[in-house]
Amino acid sequence: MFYILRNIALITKDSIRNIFRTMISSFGIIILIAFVVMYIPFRESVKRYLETNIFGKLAINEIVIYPPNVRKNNIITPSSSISGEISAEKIRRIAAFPEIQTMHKVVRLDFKTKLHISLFGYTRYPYVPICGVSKEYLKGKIIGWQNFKNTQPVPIVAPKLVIEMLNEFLVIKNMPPLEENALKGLPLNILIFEPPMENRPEKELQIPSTLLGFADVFPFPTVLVPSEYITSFAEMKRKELGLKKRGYKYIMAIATVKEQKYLPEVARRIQNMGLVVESQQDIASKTNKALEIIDRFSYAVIGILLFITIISIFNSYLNIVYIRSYSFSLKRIIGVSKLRIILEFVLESAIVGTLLGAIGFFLGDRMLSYASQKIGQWIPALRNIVVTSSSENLLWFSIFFSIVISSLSALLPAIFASNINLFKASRK
Amino acid sequence: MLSVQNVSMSFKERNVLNNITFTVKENTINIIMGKSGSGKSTLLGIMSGLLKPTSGQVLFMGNDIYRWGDFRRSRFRNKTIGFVFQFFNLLPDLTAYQNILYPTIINPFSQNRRKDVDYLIEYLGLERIIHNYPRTLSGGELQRVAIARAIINRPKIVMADEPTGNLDDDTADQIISLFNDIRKTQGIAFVVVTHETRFLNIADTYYRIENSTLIKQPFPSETSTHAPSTTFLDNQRKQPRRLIAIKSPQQSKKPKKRVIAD
Repeated sequence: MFYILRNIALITKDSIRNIFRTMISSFGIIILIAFVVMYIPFRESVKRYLETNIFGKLAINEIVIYPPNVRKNNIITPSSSISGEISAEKIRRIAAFPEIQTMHKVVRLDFKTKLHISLFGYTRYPYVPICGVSKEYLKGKIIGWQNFKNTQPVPIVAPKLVIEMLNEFLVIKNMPPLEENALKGLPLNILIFEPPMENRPEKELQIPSTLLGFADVFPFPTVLVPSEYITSFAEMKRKELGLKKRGYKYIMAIATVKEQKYLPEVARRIQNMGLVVESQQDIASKTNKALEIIDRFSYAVIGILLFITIISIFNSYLNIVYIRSYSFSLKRIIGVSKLRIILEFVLESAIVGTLLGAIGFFLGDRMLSYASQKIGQWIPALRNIVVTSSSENLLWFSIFFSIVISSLSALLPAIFASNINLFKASRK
Repeated sequence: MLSVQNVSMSFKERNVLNNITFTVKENTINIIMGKSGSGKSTLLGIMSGLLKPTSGQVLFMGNDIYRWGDFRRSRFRNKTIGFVFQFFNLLPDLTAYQNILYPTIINPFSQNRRKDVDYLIEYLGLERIIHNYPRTLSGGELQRVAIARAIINRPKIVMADEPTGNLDDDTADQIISLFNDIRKTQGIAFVVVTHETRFLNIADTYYRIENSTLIKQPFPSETSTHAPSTTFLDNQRKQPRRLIAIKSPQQSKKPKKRVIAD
């Protein structure tokens, strides 16, 4: 026990005696660690900024799924989806993909429908398909939409084309056109026609509704209501009339994937189900490729820095071995084994690595903090980037990384040290 | 005790030692002389386990030391062999005291380390310079510190490579006397590689290396015109003493009492 303790003390004293010289030799580690400490948080911040502020607005993670009929002669015509259908089973399967984060289904009421519009004493009854989408999908886009409680009047969102149609009509009648806001809150009636049955003719139902706003949400002319209204109405009528059909059909779905990189694979799987997929896959793949190139370039720079650092530290350690060859050889003569010489030297370099790793981390952290304040001035395009400072994990990583570099660089010189032609060296 | 059998050593094309056979007996002083570059120091390196011979064996107590691994050979060197060199070869970053103590730190079986060091300091008259660094010491002082370091682990053999080669005549006389005293009082054998003929006054065997071969020599009737007139102890304290740890079985029953020997 005392033997071990006194030898630990001896090695520690030896290391401390030589630590300054070894630290200067391994100075490159500080620069390498500082660079890594600056690069990792900065890269993460830029990536986060791109994902949330640029790609997020481009809906780059989004996939729009159409029924098979939208593809005609290899050309996708999304407006055709209004007359198509995606089976419920396929919708369920897609929603169960692990890569899918959210999925909004667009449903169409499978009844004949009209809209009853009365304005300034004039009335119109255009045939309009009634479609539904979940409340979350339009949340924040249409005021009052998310407060829908499945009660009447039913809130509806009309395509912007309706404003043009109404104003055309008003101009023909020598009346001033109306602004979009003036039309909001306009009371309307949705007319739903129950199909004729054996013992009774077609029946018209009038559903009071309110125009909440205008939006071209989907690539086909439709009046949008919350999908909950359509599914509950259809269920009610199916039971009441004893219909075999469900009363509504899925005509489209909008899914978001958890990460852009899943986009191509998810799109391929949906296409294999016979459906048509439209996505920002091209943009996503190009963006991913750009990020990959930036990453590869950065890793190459780190790799080159690492290589240069290791070579330079290795070279410095060789010099140290040369300078200290006299004492290594004496120790060998006195009875120190080769293994112990190697361990002592590597341990010394590991202690130095620990110190330099910590110094490199704090230097990098300070530089990162300074750079994050100035980045907007240097590169105006990146002024909105918020660079978060380095985490504690990065400190431990820096120290570990530094120990590994320092010890690896010292290993070969340590073996040289233990193999010096001892007896000749001792005769200096 | 230590036997070199049919050892040959070549460096590339150059044959340095050829079929050397030589035995070191206990409590003897063995002198090896020869021209510079004749292979004297190489022979010391081979005997101490630091230079593996091209052929032949080095046996210690019947075991070939070159069949051992580096770890065991290092232990053997630490415990059994002491070294003294022409240029003293002390660790420059350590004080004289730390230099003497160093071999005991790496010896897992050492006991009474500090008492032994204290005894040697007194025995060799190093009290005044013990906390000095090697660069501040004279040649004689350095060599005495080196001798103390060589014998601190109570080795069986001390190998000395030109131990007086860097000393003036008077100091060389003191070192020669000291070797003789240590042999007598501590029972340590010496293998001394030297050009100094005065060593023959205290030698038990005398060899020369000529043409890569070790040849036993007769003692000349008149070996030196400047033989040491007094022993080292005459100059120091006239009272040679044993290291406390080197005791007969009877003596070891009284571990705390330092035994004084004539």
